[in-house]
Amino acid sequence: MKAKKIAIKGLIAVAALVAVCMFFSGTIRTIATAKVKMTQPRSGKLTQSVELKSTLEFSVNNDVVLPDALDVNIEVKRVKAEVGYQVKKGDVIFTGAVADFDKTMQQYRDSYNEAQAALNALEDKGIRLRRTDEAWAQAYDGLSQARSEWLDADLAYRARLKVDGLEAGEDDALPEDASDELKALYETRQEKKAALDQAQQAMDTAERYSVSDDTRQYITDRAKYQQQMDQAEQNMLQLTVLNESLKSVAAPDDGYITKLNIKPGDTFNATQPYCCMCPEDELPTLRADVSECPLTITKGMAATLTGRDGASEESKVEAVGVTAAGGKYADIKLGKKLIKNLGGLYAISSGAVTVKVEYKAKQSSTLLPAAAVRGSGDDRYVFVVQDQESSFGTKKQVLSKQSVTVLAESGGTVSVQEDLTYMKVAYMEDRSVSEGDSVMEYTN
Amino acid sequence: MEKRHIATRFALTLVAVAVLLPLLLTAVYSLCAPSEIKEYMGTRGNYNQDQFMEIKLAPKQFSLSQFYKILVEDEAVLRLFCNSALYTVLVLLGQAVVIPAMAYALSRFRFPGRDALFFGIIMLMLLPFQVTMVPNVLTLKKLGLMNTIWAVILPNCFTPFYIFLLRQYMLGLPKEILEAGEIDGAGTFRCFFHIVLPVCKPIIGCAVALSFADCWNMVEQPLTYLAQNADKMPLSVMFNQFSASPTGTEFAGATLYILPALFVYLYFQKDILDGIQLSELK
Repeated sequence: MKAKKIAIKGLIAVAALVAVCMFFSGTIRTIATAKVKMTQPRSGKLTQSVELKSTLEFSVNNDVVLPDALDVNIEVKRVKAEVGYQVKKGDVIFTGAVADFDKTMQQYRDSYNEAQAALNALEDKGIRLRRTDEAWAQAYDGLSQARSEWLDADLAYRARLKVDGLEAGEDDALPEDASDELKALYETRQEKKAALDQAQQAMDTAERYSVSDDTRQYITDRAKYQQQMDQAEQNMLQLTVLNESLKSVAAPDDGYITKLNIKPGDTFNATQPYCCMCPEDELPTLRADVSECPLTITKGMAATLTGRDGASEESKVEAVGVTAAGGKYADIKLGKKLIKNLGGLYAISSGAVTVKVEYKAKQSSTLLPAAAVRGSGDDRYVFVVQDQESSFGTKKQVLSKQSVTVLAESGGTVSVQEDLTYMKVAYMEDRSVSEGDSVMEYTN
Repeated sequence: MEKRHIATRFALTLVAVAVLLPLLLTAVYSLCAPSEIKEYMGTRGNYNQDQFMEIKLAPKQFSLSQFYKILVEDEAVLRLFCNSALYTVLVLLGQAVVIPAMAYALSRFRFPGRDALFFGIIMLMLLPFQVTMVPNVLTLKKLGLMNTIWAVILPNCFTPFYIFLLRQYMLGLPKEILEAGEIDGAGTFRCFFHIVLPVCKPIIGCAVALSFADCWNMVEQPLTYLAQNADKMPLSVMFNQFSASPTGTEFAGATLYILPALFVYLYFQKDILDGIQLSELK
């Protein structure tokens, strides 16, 4: 009887154990098994978004000089424009004043007064000119004038000749392949030469008049002092006009400021350009420096420009090249609408706009989420999920380690050399896992 | 006398050890870690002829991992265990309905064809399973029972050996017992249920125990009748897979599998011995 009781109790215990295990095994198994997310790697070309430093590059940079500038120093008071500003004709660029205006003006006045005093002293000598003296004086003035004009014309012609890289023909003739401008200058020179010859002939005729040395000296001195006075007066006028115009220096044409050579408080020579401008219809390009970029940026790649306020515009790389200094660049096309949406060229040039180029690999490879690729250095691997069937027919998923060769990484995607597209790769596990572990897939 | 007894006892002890050792080792190995068992199973077929094979008598590290694996991790073992239990219970129930009644009829009544029927039962008892397999398959296919649990259960409800065993035992019952009942007004069925069955308890217990062992260990019938339905296989069939690919849980599975048979034997131990002694087979 005792054996029967033991047997009954044993059978009940076995049955209870089996029942309890069947009831709870699923729950325990679910709790004890690592959960992973599974992904099927896909084949494709890795795209990477690369942020680049960029500057505006204008195709035209015209120097802007003050009109009728004298060889004086200008003191800059305020600069109202920045590089990248779009200006209209008449917009004020900067304000300033002639440096040492009073001192320079005094110099001119002194020169004028000196010449006037000398002329007065000359007049006080009471030399009266006869008709022949007047004729000689006239011929002398005419010859001086003709010489001055001939000199200007000759200089202009010879300068043009040098610029065009030509040489005068035999007997100072016009070269055969002269441009129209050169021909015009040559004509003018010839006219002035003829006028000079004429004036010289008149002078030679006047020389036959018996003009005394004192009279000659009087006439030449009078002309010299008169000229000095005229020049001083001219200078004073120009200086005054320049000083007035410096109160608001305006843009000569519609366009973009490409370069500013002045700063508030600086002084510069009035004959030097104070800025450079680009015509309004010549849109600049955005030149991105790709010297440090490990990826090869090529023409046609998409580019995204993001403004400070979050506005985003799409463009593309329209050219790549190498600068004279050896640095590599990529030019990104800018359109009027794009410039406007991003806040203008000034916002782009001041660095408020982020430039990102979307790099796309040339060859297809296997792409995986970055969380799926583990390890570091040369030892990179993934956990591949394999279906295993136990001897009792139970199917379960087991992790298997698979070494991979990482080609590139970009944000959340990794490109590997091996073809894993037919496998399931585990990632984002809820606990530490290793090779051989059973796993379950997240169902949520 | 004493020396003969000592020698006899020594010989019997050796035999007992030889018989019980596999069971003990099964229980001991079920407490080894799965990795240890896998490693040990890997030595099969790789024997080194220069040295004795290692016999593991104790685990290097005590572990219940094997039981955890088969009871929790791999629910298939429990499912197959339940399949085995289901077949056994249903077959025993079916046999309980059919066999005592048939044995009683063959032992107590005279009807045309009785001897021929009994002869047929004897023939079936002697024929191996492989001979009757094909007709069974054709019959079950015709009935639409192939690859169902009834293909395993129904044929086993009519096991000829236990009909023979019970009939022979019932033949040995004195007629006076039944006549006394008939005098008291008991009919055929009342005599059967209230007189014959209680008297045949020992042999029925023996038959139940032996039938339990048969059903618990059956392999050919499920393999033949459930070939396309692996989910309904009993655990006895799946143990064959271990030879192909060791999983490290074989011994825990075997231990679990042994336990019901052990308890059934404990329960019917006396009946089994009595049945063997009382039946006319001795």
